[in-house]
Amino acid sequence: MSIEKETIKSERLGESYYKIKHPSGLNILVWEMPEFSSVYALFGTKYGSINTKFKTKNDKDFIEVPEGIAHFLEHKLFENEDCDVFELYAKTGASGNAYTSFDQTAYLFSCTENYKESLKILLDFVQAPYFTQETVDKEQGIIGQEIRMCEDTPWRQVFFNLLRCLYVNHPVKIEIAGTVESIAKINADLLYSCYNTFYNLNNMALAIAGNIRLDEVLEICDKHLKVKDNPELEIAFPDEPEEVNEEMHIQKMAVGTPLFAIGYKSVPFDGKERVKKELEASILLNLICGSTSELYKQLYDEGLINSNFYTEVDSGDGFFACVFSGESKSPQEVFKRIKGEIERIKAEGIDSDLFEIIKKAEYGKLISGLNSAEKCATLMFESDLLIGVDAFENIESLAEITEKDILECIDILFDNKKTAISIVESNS
Amino acid sequence: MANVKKREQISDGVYITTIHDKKFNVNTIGIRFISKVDERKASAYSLVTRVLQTSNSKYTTRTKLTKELARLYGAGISQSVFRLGDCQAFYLGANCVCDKFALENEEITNRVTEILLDCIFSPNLDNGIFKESDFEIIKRELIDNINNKINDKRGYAIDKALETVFKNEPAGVPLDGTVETLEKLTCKEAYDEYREMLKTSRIEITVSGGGDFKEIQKLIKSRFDGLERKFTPNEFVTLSPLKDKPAKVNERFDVLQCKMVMAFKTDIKDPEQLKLFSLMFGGLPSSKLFMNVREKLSLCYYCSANNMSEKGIMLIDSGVEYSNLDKAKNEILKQLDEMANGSFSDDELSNAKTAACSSLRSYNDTASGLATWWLTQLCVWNRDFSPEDAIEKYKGITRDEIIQAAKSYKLDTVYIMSGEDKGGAE
Repeated sequence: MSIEKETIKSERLGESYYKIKHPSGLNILVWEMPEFSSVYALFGTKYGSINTKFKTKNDKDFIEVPEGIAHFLEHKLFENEDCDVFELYAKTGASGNAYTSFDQTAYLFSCTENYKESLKILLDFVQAPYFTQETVDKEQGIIGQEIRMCEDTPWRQVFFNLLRCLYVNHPVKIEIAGTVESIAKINADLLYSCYNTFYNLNNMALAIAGNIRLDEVLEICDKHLKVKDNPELEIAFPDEPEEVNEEMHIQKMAVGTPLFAIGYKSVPFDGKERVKKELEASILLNLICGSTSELYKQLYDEGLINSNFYTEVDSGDGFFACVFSGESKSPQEVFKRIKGEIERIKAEGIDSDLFEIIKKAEYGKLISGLNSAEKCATLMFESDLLIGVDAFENIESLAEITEKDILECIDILFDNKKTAISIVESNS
Repeated sequence: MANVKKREQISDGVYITTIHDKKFNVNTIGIRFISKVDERKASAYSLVTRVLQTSNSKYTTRTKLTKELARLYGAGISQSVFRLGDCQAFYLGANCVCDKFALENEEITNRVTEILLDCIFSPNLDNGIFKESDFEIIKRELIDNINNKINDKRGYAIDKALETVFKNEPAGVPLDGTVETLEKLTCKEAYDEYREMLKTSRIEITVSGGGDFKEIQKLIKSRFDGLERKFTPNEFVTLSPLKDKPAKVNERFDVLQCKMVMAFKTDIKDPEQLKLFSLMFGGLPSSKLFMNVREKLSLCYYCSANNMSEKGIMLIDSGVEYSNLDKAKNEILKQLDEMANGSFSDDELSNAKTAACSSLRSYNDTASGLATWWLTQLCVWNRDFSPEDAIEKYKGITRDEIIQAAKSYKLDTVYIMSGEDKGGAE
């Protein structure tokens, strides 16, 4: 088979990896790190909780499936026809796992020996689904307990309530594992239908980093990848208005100090623009209320926030939100002050010295993010599968961001008319 | 392995261990004050390390300090508290990227180390004690943190179970102490405790990462040189006595899923034997608990075993539907019985050894992992025992030793958190 191989390099970091477009349609990303003992591999599909409506070239109309099915499928794939995948990994000593997020399902292992055997196991089981009604019923009990656990977790509740405030129709607002009711509708046929649609090598990626060799990895891939017809997948998302769904949501639970999450909704971005906007958003979150900002100091000194205060950017197909979250006795006051600070920055501009400091800190964060086989493999995997860019795009993009860029995007990313707050407070 | 470990005693009860491997792109400097504590001391030391974390005499506010660290490519100073047998370790540490990544050839690691040492030895004082207003804010925050522990139900359940497991033992003192002792603590008392902590704690310093640490060692040594010390060594490995009959604790909260923590005690003092047993029993996806309680009976999403071998404890923690509590408990006990009767295959034993050895090899890939490894071995177990030594030991563990470990575990405590109207289960 002919293989297209490209070396992806970062002059800035002195690092490089290989990107291979395999004839089977799969993108393979290989980062050799001979000085390390471990190996970390991810094999997965661009299919997550938000992909509930889709069609292939064989379907006349769009199909709508129950919430939580991508995650359910992830659990079920671990069962082969004749054994459990964990029993196979147990023999090679690899530690296997998987996760489902909004827009991906990834199967992974880490190990320090026998990586070739573990890689074969990974490629084989993900390509060999086996579902029966009996095993589906059994899984409903386990996932039901996972859902209950999430429902008892206040940080998770405050975050998903925020997404439900920000989004009117987009499925990012649904719980990744679904609900006890929605997963009751899942059966073996539906699982096969989703599997056959999304688990196509053209819609997937394999990333492996650590103590490995490119030729060995490719030899295994050539033998174990099954070429299938490209189903020409189309995904439908409902129209999402620019406005938020509701401005506030309060839930009562067993908690100490109330928790809050404040979100700013903006239009979504793709490709390199998404990488740049995520970095700009992260810098802005820090300028507005990061731990080096004046507002953070004021809120902290006044006892309105404590050191459990976080900022994050959540983005994907059709969604982009900037989030401040923390614990406060007066979440509404924190919200008011953040809104005020955004208006002040829009009127007065940003502190140039602070901008440079935050940019340096972001650069340091990206370098620390390349410190292990796990981090390198994950970065290659997500950059390629989810955004369609190289792993070093973020570090290159960061170097180019100017103060002017930041001032230009603040109106789009932080619009005080497109914001909401979610609060979880004590029920006693 | 390319990494090099060096250890040196630099003062009475003060040790510095350096682990260097150029493949790492970050450096970590960790300083642990280790002491046997009561509730008041736990509160005081935790509060003191939090005060030290936020400022020093040069960077007098949290914001000034954070800004300077951010300028040094996003360096950070962190604080935490953890148990080491009957002692608690109060950690203050700094991490930063290696100097080779500096865009303008600035010094990074030396600067960050100096800042950390200033936080410890040159705090921001006012009239000879900590600044009262800073102290009060941090005290309030720590009290809130203790009250907010309920936000993490799984962690809270384990903490509460340990309080009963270690009743009347130093290990039963809650990490961070209690709200009551904190409320009473004054700024002056905290400052006195800070001087005491520097004088009497065992101090374990680790410097790990990809940097060249010669300068840093010198910097650290010079600051510890003039320090007045009065140190008495602590015994770390002390087995927790088994209760006459298992204690049962039931707590009610507004939760949908019950949390059950079962604690077992042993009189065996061999950490590798106990660790291998707990991996086979409930530490791996191929373990007895995962395969039976979760996969076969669908009772839990998680049901796993963890051990604190320096206290002879194994904890099984699980999230279970109220109506299934008894079923889950009985199944866990049944699986332990089966292990004690030897009903496990040679494959299960060799698979657990393979998994244990694989995870030991991976220690060499994280600088902070290696630092933690050496702290546990040198300080708690008092032995110069590398991950490679542990691999050799695991390989030699026999089937009989696993059966012996299973037989030795006796139920000590069952903690259950359940929903409001349902009460506790027997």
